[in-house]
Amino acid sequence: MENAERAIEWFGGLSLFAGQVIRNSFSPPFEFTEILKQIFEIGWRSAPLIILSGLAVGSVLSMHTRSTLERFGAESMIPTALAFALVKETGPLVTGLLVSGRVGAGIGAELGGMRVTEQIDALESLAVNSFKYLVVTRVVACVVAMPLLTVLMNFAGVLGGFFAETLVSGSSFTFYFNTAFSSLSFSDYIPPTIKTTVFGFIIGTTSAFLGYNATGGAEGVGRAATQSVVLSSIFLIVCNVLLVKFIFFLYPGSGS
Amino acid sequence: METTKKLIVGMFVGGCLLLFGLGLFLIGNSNQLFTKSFNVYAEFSKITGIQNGGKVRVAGMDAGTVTRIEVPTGPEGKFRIHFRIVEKLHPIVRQDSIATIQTDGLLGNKYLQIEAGSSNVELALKDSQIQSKEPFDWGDLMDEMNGVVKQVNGIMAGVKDQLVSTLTEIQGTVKSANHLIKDATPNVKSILASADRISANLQEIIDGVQKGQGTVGALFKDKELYASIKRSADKTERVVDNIRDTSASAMKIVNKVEESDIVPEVQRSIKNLQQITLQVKDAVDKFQSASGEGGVGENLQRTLADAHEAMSDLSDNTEALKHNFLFRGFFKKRGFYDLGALTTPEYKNPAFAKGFKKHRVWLDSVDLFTKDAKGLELLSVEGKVKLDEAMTDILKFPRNGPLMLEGFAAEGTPAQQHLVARRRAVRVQAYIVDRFHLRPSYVGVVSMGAEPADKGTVVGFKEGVGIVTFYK
Repeated sequence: MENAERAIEWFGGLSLFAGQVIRNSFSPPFEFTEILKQIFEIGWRSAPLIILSGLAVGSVLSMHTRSTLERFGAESMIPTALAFALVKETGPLVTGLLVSGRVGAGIGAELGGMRVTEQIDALESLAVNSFKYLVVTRVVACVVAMPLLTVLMNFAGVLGGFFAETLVSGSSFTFYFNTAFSSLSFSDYIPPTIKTTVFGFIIGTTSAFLGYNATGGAEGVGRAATQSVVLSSIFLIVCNVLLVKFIFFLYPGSGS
Repeated sequence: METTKKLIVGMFVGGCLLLFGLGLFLIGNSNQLFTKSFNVYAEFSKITGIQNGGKVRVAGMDAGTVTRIEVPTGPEGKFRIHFRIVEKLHPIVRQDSIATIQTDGLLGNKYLQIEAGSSNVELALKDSQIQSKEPFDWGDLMDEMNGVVKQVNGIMAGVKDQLVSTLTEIQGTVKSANHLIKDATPNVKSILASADRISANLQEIIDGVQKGQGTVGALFKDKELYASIKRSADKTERVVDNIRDTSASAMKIVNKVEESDIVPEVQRSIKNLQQITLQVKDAVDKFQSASGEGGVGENLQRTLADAHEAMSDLSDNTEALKHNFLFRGFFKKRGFYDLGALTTPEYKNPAFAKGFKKHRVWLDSVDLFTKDAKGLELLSVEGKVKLDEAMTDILKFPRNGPLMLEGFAAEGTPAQQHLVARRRAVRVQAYIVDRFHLRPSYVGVVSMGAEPADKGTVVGFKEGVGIVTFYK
């Protein structure tokens, strides 16, 4: 009972923190330089991981799709099926999980470290709005970087699929890409990409909340880092269900 | 923050946005969004799942997308599907082009197919209506098939009733014919017996005549009688002369008659007679054809079929009689009921000829048979010699049980093996029954294929004939 109460209290704290992030995001001063720096850290430095993972996921998906579609003599549908799977779901979700692993842990540990070593208090004493400077910039950077990384993941995945497919069937690059995108509509492409901004917000907010409120020295920093990854991944996966349903509601055609 | 980092972030964001734009372009391009196009529409009672953004194909080529679907205002109205077609395909979209809703592959998405129009018809106008054909619906087809099946069922039920009544009538006719034949049989027999007696009597009479017995015999033998007859003949000649004169007089009378009105009457009578003759001929023809099919002939055929059935029944009855407790002792004692009806599994069953000892002689098919021009196996001269030797061995044993000929063949399918094995055994059976004057009912044939009855004693034996005698 006490645990449940504590959990609800914690969730309430997170919600208030998230509301504070949104409110502060739209009020000056905007820490553009810091945001750019965070985009560099979160986006650019994650790009190699995302591209490599995308190539691997794409090629594996292509191989599996081939073995299934071959039974029905529908090999020509491999690029289309792969693009559907990647663009609509696999790309955004895998990107979200990878970023939550790499970036969530980073934010949790960094802010947690700053909190336990009283660096945040030092910033406050210098009349710097530590929340705006440390939290909002990271969350905004996550929100901006996530769709960009998702686009990278999607293209890397299709490319990986092409490599796997061309080794088997010798399919041409132009044909493969044209076929991959021919059956997609804008409603299949834009909403799943845009929804990753929500993933970015979840990752940034959860990890920043855990780091910003870390207590208990080095042990508290470690706990904040671990919990950042675990909780942001869980929230992301659960929230994805709601987002997919919401997209189907907005674009009924994209469900088919 | 250093300038390099800013540059990298700029490049990263710009590059990713460019990729996103490329994706948008590829999708838009495949949906013909960046090509000049014109709008038209078509109306359908059922749209079978086509949606906004659905593909439009002109003569099989991707040509645009469905832009809007208008829902009808009432149940009698139709859905109006608005769609875009790229301008470059306009020349083949004519006013007689027909729009249909098709499925991409077996399970794919629905799309709108526009057939190319005729060259002598004007181009389809922008924002005009394209003719449409309602989509094919399996449900409708199933409904129609259901109706047809019901109709066929009804017809079949009617035909069945008629057929049953016809068959009953035929059965009645056959029974009547059977009765007739049964009734007539004693009469026919008595007629034949009488005919026999008559011919015997005739023979007797002729013999008597030849010997000069009786009046006719005397005619052949008596000279005085001959002279008397000759005189009578002379007198007859004279009488004939008189008749000839009378005939001449009659001719004159006839000529006179011809001049009178009697002749046309006679001619009419003759015509009537001709007509009657033709009618009689028709009647005869009908009778003949009736006896060919559906008439007497067919009744007779049915009667024969019935007789055949009766014989089969009789055969069954005698077979049943064999198993009757009065007779079965005899058959059990001799070890079998009917070798002709013996099957391979029955033969392999240890219950067959229980209590009998057996002696077997193997003969290889290479030693027994030679092949003719058609590839059929026939007993060779050497084979017959071998058989004689084998039978000498076999006939040493008491002849109180069956003699079985086991055919073996290991080549081809099981059916081919069975046939070849049986043919081999039958060839040997025909030869030994004739050659050694054996009772045919005691000599049986069984096709073993490639599987010997008792494997232990016949290792490696696959092609040929085994002669087995059962004795006590």
